[in-house]
Amino acid sequence: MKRIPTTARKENWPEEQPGVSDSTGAKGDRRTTARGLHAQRRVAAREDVSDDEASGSDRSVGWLVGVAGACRRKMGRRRLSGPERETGRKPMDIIPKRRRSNETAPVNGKTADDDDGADINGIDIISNLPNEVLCHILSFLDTKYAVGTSILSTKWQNLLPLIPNLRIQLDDTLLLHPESASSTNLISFMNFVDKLLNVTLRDVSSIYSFYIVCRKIDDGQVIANWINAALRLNIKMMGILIRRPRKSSFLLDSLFGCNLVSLNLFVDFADDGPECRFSLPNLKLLAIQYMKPNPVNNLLACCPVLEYLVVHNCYCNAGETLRIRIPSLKALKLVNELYWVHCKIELDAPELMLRHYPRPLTRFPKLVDMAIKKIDSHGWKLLPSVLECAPNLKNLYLKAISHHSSQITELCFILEE
Amino acid sequence: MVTTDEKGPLTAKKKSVIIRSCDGDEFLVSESAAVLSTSLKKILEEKEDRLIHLSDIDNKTLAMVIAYLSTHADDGLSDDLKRSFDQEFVSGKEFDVLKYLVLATDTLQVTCLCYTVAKKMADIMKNKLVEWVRREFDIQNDYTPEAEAEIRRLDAWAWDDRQLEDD
Repeated sequence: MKRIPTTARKENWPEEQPGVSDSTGAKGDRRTTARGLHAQRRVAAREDVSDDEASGSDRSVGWLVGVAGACRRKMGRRRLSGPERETGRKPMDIIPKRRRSNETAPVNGKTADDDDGADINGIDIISNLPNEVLCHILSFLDTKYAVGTSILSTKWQNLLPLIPNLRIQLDDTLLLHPESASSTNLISFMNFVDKLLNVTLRDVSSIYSFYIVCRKIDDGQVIANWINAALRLNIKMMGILIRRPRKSSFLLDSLFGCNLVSLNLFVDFADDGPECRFSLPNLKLLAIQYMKPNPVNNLLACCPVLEYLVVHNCYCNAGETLRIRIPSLKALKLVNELYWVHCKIELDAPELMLRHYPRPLTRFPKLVDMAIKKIDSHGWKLLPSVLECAPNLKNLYLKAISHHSSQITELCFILEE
Repeated sequence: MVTTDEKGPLTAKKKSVIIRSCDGDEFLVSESAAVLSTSLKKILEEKEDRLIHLSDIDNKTLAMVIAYLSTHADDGLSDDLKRSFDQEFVSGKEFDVLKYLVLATDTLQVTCLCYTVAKKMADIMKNKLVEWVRREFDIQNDYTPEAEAEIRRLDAWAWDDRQLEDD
């Protein structure tokens, strides 16, 4: 039994979406049912399997699929017979009188002879479960592994299109062996994505989200084709992380006019970035990283209903201005403030009621919660005037850092809903 | 760990249901717990009788399901406590236990438990070799060698690392 090394660490998306999880309708229904179960991810005490388990990072996000009704048809044939007697009950006894066998119900540790895999009835219990339950299991797996289960048996083939609210998560570095010929792996990855989007999911009308990480693949045209294919699946949420793409104009053009509600655009443009031509009429959440002020300004001008904006690492030169003029904006998060030192920020967002941050400050009567994570010396100086301007502030969260320990400042303003 | 209504008689203030496993043992469950299972709820709505025989769920599995249902039917417990109960419930359970559990939750239509168990099973499957999963999950490979090779060829990226490992 070999262990699969997860040589490539999957990078998490740099920032969670602030507060949007319960605000976008698309996600809300899922969250309510899945509430609290994300903690299941941390099921640690798996003595029986932990030895064999590679400690790969776990980015799969589960959700509740429609298992209700999965087995209604079964109820008929499973004899749920009525009562035969009403009295003569005995105290409940959880020790089975007739154990199936040691193999099927080990209580502590492994039994000695449970390795042949034969069920007492010789039945492949798992594969005989309804597709809905199998899809339910697959929905917790990363796309690569969910597709990988098709090799188990014919029953597991072609399950992917049946998963409701499918989340696609692709990462071209996932388990890539650095020592192996990477070009072969990249071709293999590209074929995989092509087949997934154009063949496997051909008859699927909608999926939930599409996230792709391209650290090796840099051809904007290839990625743009995938984005177009994904958009045909009526996704509402998309995340793209690309290291220094070539032909990036293709990439951004592919997003033109799409119906996305949430977009994470982490594209590290080598130069100034392309001329953007955007239209994102339904976009409510936008997280961007590595973009220069001008493309950001163009982008923001094309998001008429944007409510949540997260800007990471915006490379600003002296004299450049970042214009955030969004009437519908409710929350703004600027991450890694060092990049903002030379940048002038114009903030015109009446719903946010926060203007010209960080200087000069006006009053923010709607500001009730404020979090300043990793406040540095600059932040401390700024704090009194911020507090003066926020007469209705109820909650203030501060996390201090020493001057030299980190160069990251993160400010987060949250307004009352 | 299994909570029951010890008062027993059906005339007790709290309505109870008797559930009999395929092993023949009987479990006393409060009705409020039983109706968390969509299947049991339907049966109880249709019948006056208070004894339900489950012909394909054994004692051990049924006891676990009932423990789960009773905990979730307990109004005195906060959602947080129920959540941590859920975590504990599947933690450390072996696959041989889980597979009967998922079968039972499917039969009884206990959606949230099915969710919890499926998540746990997915966690077990993660980063495992195909052969390992087949053996541990009792999955019978019914592919011909040719068909399996073709599938491996078509989605090579899904198994690239595994093949490298095997070489």
